[in-house]
Amino acid sequence: MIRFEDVIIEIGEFRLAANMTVPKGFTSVIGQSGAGKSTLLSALSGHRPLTSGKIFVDETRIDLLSPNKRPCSIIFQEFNLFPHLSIVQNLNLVCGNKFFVSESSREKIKRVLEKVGIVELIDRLPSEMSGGQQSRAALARALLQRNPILLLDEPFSALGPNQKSELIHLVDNLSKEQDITVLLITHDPKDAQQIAGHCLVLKDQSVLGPFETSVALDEDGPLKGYL
Amino acid sequence: MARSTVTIICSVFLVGLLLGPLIFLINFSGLSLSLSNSDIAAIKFTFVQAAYSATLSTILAIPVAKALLRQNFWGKRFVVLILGAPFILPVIVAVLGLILVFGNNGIVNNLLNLIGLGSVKIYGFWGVILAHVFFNLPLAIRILLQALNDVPGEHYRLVSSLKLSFTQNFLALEWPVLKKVCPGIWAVIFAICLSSFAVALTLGGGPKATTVELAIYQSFFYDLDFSKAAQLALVQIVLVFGVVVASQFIVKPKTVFGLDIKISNHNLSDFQKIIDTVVIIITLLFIFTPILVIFFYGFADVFSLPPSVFKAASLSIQIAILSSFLSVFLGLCLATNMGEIFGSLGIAISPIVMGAGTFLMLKNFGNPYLLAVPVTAMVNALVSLPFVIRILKPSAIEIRTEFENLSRSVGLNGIYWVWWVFLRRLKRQIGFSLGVASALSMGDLGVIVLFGSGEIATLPLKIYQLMGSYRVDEALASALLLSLLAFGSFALFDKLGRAL
Repeated sequence: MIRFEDVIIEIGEFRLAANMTVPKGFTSVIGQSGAGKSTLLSALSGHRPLTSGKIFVDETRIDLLSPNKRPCSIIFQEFNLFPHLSIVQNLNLVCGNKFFVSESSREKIKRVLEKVGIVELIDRLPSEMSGGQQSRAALARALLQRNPILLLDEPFSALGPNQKSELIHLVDNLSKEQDITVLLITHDPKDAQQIAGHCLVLKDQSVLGPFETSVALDEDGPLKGYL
Repeated sequence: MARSTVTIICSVFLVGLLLGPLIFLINFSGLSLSLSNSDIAAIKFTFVQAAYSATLSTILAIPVAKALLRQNFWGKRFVVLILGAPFILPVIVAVLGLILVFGNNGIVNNLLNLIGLGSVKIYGFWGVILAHVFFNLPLAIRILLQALNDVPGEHYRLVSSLKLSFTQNFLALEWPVLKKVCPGIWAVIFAICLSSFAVALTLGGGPKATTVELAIYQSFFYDLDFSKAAQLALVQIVLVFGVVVASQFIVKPKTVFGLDIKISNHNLSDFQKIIDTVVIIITLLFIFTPILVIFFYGFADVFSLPPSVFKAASLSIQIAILSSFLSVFLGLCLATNMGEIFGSLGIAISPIVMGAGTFLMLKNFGNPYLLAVPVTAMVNALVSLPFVIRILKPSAIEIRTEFENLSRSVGLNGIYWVWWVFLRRLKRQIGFSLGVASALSMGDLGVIVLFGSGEIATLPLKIYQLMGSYRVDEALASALLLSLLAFGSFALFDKLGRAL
């Protein structure tokens, strides 16, 4: 469970207020461009400082921790993999030995890549893979990090509808299997619709919710005017 | 360890290395406060020759850059690329080449005598200027060409459609660029020429053609007046640092790595085409004849050189390897905006004083000659450091910005980040800067003249000694060997950086 307590994030003129509790499971974060979706996730992952307030994960305060000490993995819209490193090298960065890829790390990485369906691409460079395959590799790395929270900052936005839907379902299945809380940023309500989870709505400089996705997408729900 | 901590530690270490020897020298000898007439003459000469060299190089670069911009010919890209060669050409080789072309019995004077004209003099004031123009004209041409090349093609099309006069054309297109770029080029060349040593040592000298750097060497080596050397070193710091600070107020020219030559829409008359062609040919002859004559005259004897020359070459290689790796290591630690300021101090501090101060410091602990190699390597590394930082910094900053979020999200920092991201992304620039630093060190005739003895001599020093003893054939062959080593080490490291 993630709790935002009187959180205020200010960047110049922009201001975002969050005071809510995100339940376990799959939660979509919906809002118009510039509403602050990425800012919210950046604050949670530690890439952006809070102006005021606190963030708790299962009663442990995390907003004072550095990004690598927080229980979150994040996948960005782009630049999720180091382009000069092969997939196995990219994934090895979150494994034990960081100077070279040991045999045991390679085996561990293989097992995760099998789960996301790209084990045969283990020695490829990101540039030798499609956008969807790159997203799967980034997802595999996030799984290797074994953090209880996975933040997805529109990582599938450049993919076609089928690929996108496939990956959202993959994330959903893996998160259930490994008991991971997922926050997925999207500006497309159809993405949220695919998963029967919860929904946070960013509107008027505030985070509203969480709502059940079906409620949020209702004609009179908080997304009225956005749909 | 945080990046800023590394930069601070390195900066402190660097300042210690640069200023430590000077402070020791002052402490050791006391500081003479009065300037003699010969000191004032040296300061005056340093300023005047630097001003002449910078002005001539900048002015001459304008028609050449314009001609290269306007004319398209086979091999143009190669010509522009090879204009970088004089920068890494060892000074002593260039001087030999210039003597063969412009010396008393050189090609130019023979031609002038043939048609009954007077002769040109290579030694003294004009010889120093000639050598400085030889080294710096290509640099000026490349920077200016890059700036002119950055003018959008649409501007040329617009101006040509307006059918403007020559003057209006110049004022509309070229003047804004020249006004912006030329002061910066002038300042860079002026600063480089202020600390000229090897050129002044070989072509200058005497009361009328002594630079401050040469005067420091003479005080230390011939007069054993350490106090005078320290005083002149302070003068040198004030001069160069003053110019470096002043140049910060001038628009800086861009660093040139490669040139994206565009084909512009120029409607040139036949006369202009002929003029451009003549300008390009004369420039290429001026820059490449001295290099080519070394290859031509040196080739015959290169295989019959005495073992002492190869021993000197081996020492040069060792020093170049040590110095280039040290310079690039420091460069990597200082590849930030703050680091660049400290790294640039290397231009202001006299290498002779750095060497002399270190020499005296080491004397307290034993025989300083035993440490000639590491000390020379260290001083050479500090001398090439400003250039190395200039090459590494832009990409280093870009890498930090581009991969900051990703690195933080996977918890990649410290030495792991350097290993997986920094070094791997920067390998081309590292290879290039290792190449530049090794070539500069290979050709350096600076601090080694202090340590150099019959036993310890680098190849440039050996050539200088051969020239001094009138063994011209051996000097030429050694110069060819040195050129091959300098260009070879540059090409090898550059290639490694690209291939790895």
